[in-house]
Amino acid sequence: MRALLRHVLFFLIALLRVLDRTLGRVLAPVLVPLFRVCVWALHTPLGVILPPVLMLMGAYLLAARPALRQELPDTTWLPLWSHMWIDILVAIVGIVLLGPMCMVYITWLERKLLGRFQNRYGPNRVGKYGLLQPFADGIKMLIKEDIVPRGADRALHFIAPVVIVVPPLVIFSVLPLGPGMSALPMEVGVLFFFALSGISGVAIFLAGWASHNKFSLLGGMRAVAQLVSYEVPLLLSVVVVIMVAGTLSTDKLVEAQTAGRWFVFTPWGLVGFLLFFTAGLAEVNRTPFDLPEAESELVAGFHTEYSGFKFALFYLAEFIAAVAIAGLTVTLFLGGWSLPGADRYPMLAPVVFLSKAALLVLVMVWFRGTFPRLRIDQVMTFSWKFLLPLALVNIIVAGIWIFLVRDGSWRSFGIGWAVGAIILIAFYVWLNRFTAPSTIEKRVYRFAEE
Amino acid sequence: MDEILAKSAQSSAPALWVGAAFAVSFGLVVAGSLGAALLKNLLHAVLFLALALLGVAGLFLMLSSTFLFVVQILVYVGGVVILLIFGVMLTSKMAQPDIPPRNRQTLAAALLALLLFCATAYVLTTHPWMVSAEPPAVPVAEIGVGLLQKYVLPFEIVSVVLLVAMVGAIVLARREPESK
Repeated sequence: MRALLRHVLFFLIALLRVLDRTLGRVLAPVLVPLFRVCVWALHTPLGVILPPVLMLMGAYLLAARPALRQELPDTTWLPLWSHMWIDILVAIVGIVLLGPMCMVYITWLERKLLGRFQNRYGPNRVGKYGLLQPFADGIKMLIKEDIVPRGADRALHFIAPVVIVVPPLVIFSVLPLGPGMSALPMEVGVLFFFALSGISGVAIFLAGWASHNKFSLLGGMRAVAQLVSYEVPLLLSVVVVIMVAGTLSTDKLVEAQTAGRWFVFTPWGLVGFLLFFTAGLAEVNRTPFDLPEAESELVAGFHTEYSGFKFALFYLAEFIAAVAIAGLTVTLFLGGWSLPGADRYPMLAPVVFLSKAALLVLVMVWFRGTFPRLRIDQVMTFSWKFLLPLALVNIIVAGIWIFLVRDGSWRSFGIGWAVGAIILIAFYVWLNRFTAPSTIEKRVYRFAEE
Repeated sequence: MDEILAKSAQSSAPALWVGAAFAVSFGLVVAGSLGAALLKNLLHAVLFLALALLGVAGLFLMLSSTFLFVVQILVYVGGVVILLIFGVMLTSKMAQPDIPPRNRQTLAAALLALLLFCATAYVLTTHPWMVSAEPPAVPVAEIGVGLLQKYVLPFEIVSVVLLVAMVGAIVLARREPESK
């Protein structure tokens, strides 16, 4: 049975190889000129205008979906059964345009800003201000050789980069870009986000394990340990918002923050925001928590053994995840799509949302240019001994706040602020004294010194 | 507008695509469980288990209990599978976690599994289930209130058990003070 299966598999692989070669020969005269046209088109003004247009198109496809739902029943020429599929298709196309295009801009922004932080220019050759650098990189990745190490688990090595892109893209479906504009209006949207980020942890570990390389495996182990520890403060820092707003739906959370009543303007909201953003950085492996891929220690961590477009998929996933976590921070604490003065124009909402998220991404880049990487024990200590207790006390403060600020008057607001701030600051001071900075004893090199 | 979408969903041969979605979920559960039980490579087995758990999540989704769907992924795929991965990594050789999936207790295990299957099947077929066309939509808030009011005692007992497990894990994992 097993031998038969193996024969069939070998036959299929041989067939694929033959197909690959003949197709390559037949299609080359077509593909090469097409490729050249694409490269030329990217260098014209069209190339500079197209990406932002695509990104906004994605955002507005999602934004126009509620209106489209209203309009669809009036179109008599479309059969009734197709309405649902059109609705689903619009959401998918919107997300697929929005996510990767955001990623394209953020890679450019990150390289440009990091360049400036380090007193260099950053990319400035491809297109105006190097704006087309990401596309050039993408094309380069596509035509690079795909190398699989000899000892690798081939199936898992192939699946890992595919699986890792899925959760960050799906997270976009619960981010409300405007009033009623989230692609998937889920009752438990916030929980859905956490469920998805759990899956990406498994995918990262798979990549590390399947590569059959010690650096990859170390990176994978670090990633899983880090994800597991930071998920706890991440979840607990969201609890305050859920307590006060009384809902798990991302749409309703933003509705509770309209007219400038952003949660970040309360003591528990401010602390929750800082906790969530910090833990979120660790969750998406951004500096200073980029230990799973620490280039000075682990070559490239879990994606050391990946080349070509699989490598690009890891980068895609990482940057989309960064945008997604920024978007969720905005949704939970910074008022989402709402901005005093702009709430009257629902079509402005996606722009407001994306700008706020972009600001947070800028902060992430700034962190990357500023902070050194933490040591693995510092990362763990920081999560368990600092973030976790603070998040727990924050929940108590939110409970007191609900009790104190029931009538919503300015006076009770002030009292709530004073009480909350006193408790949090006192606890912070005590916590700092309690958890002394971790130091390591002088290492004894037994075999070297004897 | 959502009624129209619902109507649209119903008019698109509901039996067909709902059936297809159920079939995919069941297929995932069956294939995943078989893989988890039969594969030699421990890590592959864990991943097939994750597939089966995702299939169960899909079943919850098809039964329109979104909360259970999300919690299933959160707890099982995000938590239990990662825990199992840690287990595999810490208990066996990292590079080659191959162990034979059979041992001398195959017969006893098969009998036990059969017995369990029969008992479950008996309960499931004889229990008078409430059948309704409308899926009961339980809001999350109700689940929360239920946990903290009606079922507060079981809830607390479960948390005490978890606490005991945690303390036990710490005691087991703590390094013995070296005697010099």
